[in-house]
Amino acid sequence: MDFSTQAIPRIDPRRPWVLGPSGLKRIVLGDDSGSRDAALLAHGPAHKPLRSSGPFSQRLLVVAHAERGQLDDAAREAIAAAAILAGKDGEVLALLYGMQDAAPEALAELAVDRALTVADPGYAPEQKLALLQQLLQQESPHTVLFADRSEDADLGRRLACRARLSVVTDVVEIAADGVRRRQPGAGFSLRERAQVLLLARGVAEAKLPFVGKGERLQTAALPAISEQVQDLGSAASPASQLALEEADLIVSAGNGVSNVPGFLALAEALGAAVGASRVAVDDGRFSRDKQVGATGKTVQASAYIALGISGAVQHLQGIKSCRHVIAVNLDAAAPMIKRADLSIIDDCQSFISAFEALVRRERNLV
Amino acid sequence: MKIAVLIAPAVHPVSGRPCAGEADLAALALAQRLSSQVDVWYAGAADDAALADYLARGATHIHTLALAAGREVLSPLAEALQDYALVLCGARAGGGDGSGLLPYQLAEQLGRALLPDVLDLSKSDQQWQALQALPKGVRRTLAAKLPLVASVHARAASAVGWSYARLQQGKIQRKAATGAALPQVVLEPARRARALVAASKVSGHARMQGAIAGGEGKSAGIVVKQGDSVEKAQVVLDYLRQHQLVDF
Amino acid sequence: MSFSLAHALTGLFWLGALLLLGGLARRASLWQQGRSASVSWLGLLAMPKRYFVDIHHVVAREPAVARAHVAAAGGGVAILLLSALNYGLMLYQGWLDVLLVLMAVVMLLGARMMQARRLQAPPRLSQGRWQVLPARLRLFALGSLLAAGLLFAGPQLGLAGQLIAVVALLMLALGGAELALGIGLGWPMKHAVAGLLHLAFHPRVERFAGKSSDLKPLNLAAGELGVAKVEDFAWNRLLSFDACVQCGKCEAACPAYAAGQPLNPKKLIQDMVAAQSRGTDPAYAGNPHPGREATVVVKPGEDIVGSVLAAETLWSCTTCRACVENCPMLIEHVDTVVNLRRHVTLSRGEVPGKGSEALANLRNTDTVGGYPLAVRYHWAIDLDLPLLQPGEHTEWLLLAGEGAFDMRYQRALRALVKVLKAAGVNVAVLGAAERDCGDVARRLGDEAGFQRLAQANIATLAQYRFAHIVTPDPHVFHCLANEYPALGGQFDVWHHSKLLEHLLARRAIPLKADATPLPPLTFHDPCYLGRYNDGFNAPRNVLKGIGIKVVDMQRSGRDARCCGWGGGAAFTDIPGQRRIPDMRMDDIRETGTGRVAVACPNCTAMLEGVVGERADVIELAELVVERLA
Repeated sequence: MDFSTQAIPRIDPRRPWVLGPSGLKRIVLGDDSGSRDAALLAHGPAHKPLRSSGPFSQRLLVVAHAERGQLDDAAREAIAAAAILAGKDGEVLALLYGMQDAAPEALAELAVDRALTVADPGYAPEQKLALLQQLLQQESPHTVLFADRSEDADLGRRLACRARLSVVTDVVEIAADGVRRRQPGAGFSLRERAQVLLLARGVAEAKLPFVGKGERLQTAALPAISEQVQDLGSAASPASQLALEEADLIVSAGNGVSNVPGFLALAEALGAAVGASRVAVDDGRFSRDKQVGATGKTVQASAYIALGISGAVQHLQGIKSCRHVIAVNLDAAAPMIKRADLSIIDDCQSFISAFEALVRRERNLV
Repeated sequence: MKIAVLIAPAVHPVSGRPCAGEADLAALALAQRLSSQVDVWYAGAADDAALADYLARGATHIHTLALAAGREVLSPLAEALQDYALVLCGARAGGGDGSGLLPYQLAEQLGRALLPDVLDLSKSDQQWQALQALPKGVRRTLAAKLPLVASVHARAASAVGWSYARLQQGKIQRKAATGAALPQVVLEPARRARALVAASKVSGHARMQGAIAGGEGKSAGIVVKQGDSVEKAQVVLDYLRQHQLVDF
Repeated sequence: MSFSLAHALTGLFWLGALLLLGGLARRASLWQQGRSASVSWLGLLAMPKRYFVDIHHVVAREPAVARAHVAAAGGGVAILLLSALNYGLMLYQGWLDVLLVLMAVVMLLGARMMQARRLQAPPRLSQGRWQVLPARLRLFALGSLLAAGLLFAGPQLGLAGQLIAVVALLMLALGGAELALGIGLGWPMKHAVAGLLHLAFHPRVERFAGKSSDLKPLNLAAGELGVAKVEDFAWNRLLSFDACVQCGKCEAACPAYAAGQPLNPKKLIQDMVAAQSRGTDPAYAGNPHPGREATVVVKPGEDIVGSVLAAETLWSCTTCRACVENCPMLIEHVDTVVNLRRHVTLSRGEVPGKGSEALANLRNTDTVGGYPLAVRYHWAIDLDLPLLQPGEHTEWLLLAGEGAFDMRYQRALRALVKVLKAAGVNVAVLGAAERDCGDVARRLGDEAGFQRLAQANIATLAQYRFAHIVTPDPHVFHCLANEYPALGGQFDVWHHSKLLEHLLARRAIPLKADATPLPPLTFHDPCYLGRYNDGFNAPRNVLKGIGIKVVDMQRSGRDARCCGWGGGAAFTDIPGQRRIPDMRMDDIRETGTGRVAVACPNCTAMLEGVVGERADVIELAELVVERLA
């Protein structure tokens, strides 16, 4: 039956649905694509108010490194924490590495009032420290916040030790009575709020209902100080050589993948680490160290592409901390489809060859 | 060349018993790979039983600077370690504060360069090269001259397996030391941490919209059935690009 | 004429006896490499009973072979004894010659039967010298026949008699060499001498007085850390390896071998023989460890594991005791495997796969899976299961074991508690005070870890007052019942199958009155309940008691195939061609029942882990609870 010819427009009850937070299926009205892309549903870019127009009598400094011009969630949370803590008369000052191309609106959207953006020189702790100390002297923020992971964590610790500032790491909660950090084996420990705070994930809700002023400080170059340690450059190690536990992108094969060479070619083209389900390992198609799951390896990839894996409980346990799961399977009722963020109902063999061809074309590998 | 390795007992996350820390073990294993003269050091209040795991996993001899609980270990350690050209320690201890600050403090105190999160160390010409672990499998090569402090990534090297015989043969040598008193910390049982949330003035309807449709991981997955394999492959690539999961 | 033949026989006899004694002395010097062991010389007196009862018990499972062996060996021994009397002591009695002729005929028949069997030898049998042994024995028997016959009726034969005498002597010399030189040169007949001595000085002498399947504790304080080199075996262990007849019954029974994992128990024992004889014995001519070379290079002075034996071979064993159960020479393969593992674990710390993680979990959390002890009885929160307090008394103490952390097995545990409650059994648990029994630690060679856990458990249990312990986990059952006594823990331990059987027999469990017939199912015997503790009947009686017919698998009871979990094999996870539980599921499928009853948390997990179409796996207690009124 053709719905469009009907006098009264009807909603197809079998349309793709959305699972609401309460676990109920919902069909979003006026959305006929079935896609629940957040951007499609929002009422356009909402106009958010300015957090505070000043004048500011005190300030907090957030230091963050961007990756490919983007701040990750941890860094956004650090800025959000500063913005929430700042109060009416407090200013959010940010020192951002690798965001020299960011538009003022983008900075405002992050809730930053004033930002110093510097090109990221790579490994240059002495120069970064000198700049940071210079900034501390000029602006004298009462608190410096870092996300407690990778480059930011490193710089934060260096700053605290060099400038002999009080510091609390692994902060999980900032409250009126002080800050709480996770203490190994002993729950939380309560500390006085220190000058340098290194924040664990989840300290603040990164989504903010306001924007900052988004001004940019005069862009400063890093001071020319010689480094004790020389940076000889960095490289992403080939995913195929990465330990599965460390890999950020994994393609994983299950029973539905019969063409192993084709599968491996896809993994290579995509630059993804190779995983496998227990069935595929038991069959001898893959070595035991590739096995993902409760009896194999627990992985933490940002993206996990499961090809022809039905998704036994043990396998799902092994991928529970993967951020994006993409499933390709012929059986739409497989448990893996329920877990996946994007599911493709297709034959693995034809999908693999199509996907590999596409990736090769897009990467100009041919 | 003599290498000093710093170790400390970790707290087992389930039972709370002392055990060996992964990163400290990696530091021990890396040091043993680099040199046959490895001195293992510990400063703190832990008893011998808490260090047993390190003996069982390859430390034949542990020098312990015995301090009362709640004392800072930095100055006695710095004094003991100043003659070592290379000092290795785990990037983070799994016990004590587990703040990951000690390598930085030690490097600062000894006035040396710090190589953070090291996966591998090797000597080339007059310099030492270190392979630094960065997120998402990125590796950075650093070069520096001795003396150095390096904090070792947990995945750098694996120590020998736990052996009862090694535990029986291992020795722990204690020497009394003093350090300044650290401020008392107040411990609380773990609970769900309260996140800072900005007071919102948005209407209820908008919040509801956000709760239903927005937010990562809250919604069920998209299921694509239509189209041929080529179109479906395009959908997957678009998804990967949209979420910045690939860089092409 | 006959005079000189008789003397020649006397000479030949004593020459053979001397060669045998010399060979024995040489072999004994090899056994002397081993450590001293406390043995009783009275064992020599017990030898006949052990031979005719204990060995026969195993051999008689294959009647044809048993008959052939009785004829060949019985005839052979009789010939040797009669020759000793008649020629050795130079009695030269005609009637003894007649007896000799008769015995030679018996032996000839036996050897002939053996030769016939060798024509269609099953692949488990070793080839090489073993293949030609029956022919040599026939030669010997025929020689005896001719010589004795000639002596009896000789004088009339003249020149022909002389010729026959020469031929007979040649046959005796050739065939007799097999008997006389066997022990010294490691030829097949070594098994006769070593096998008899093995019976007398068996390293597990308790097995002749009843069931004995417990591992023996190491004296850690005295520095015992398992077996690294040949010298670390007790001398009577080395002797036991020489008893092996390479019949391959262990090979045929071994689940790891069938799964293509690199373990052949027969080859394992022969590897030990090669190590102790430093490779001077004839080359092994049987099946290799799957996927490995058959030849071994013995480097004297080197550790066994890593030279003659690959570590993977050692870690493939599930300690299911199928090999021990089937060995006609009563060799204890599992003891040897664990003794070698102890060295690898305790001294080297090289436990493969997730084995080292399991051992670390045991050290750090007292559970195999690294769980908090406090959550062990969370599944019983609504079952009103009393937590035993120190000083309080309960009739039955329930130890749930590691299965209590498994969501699937918690269903079985809940069923068990419900049944016990319905039967009015006074039962309580220890809660967070219960630690792992140490089974996995011990089988993985971590004797230190086992003893720590066992001693801690014994000390804990001493604080409570209870009459009996009941556990649904055969591994817990075996450890507590059979292995804790050596460390000072004496408890009355029951497997839940026995308690359920007991309650059903007393009609203490209120069952549904309706007589709807239940579909038949098959029962999978857990190794640690069945072969380890002879608990074959209790679970079957329970099923019968609730009106379910059991269709046994071809391999059931004593011959049941392991599920693949035991001995830490699920953790070390040595790759093979197939998985052991998959093979067991095939066995189950063959019965056509579509359902299998289990009585062990680990069998439950292994069989439920089979991918694809599989039979329903139901725990014993779950079947009983369904029938509760």
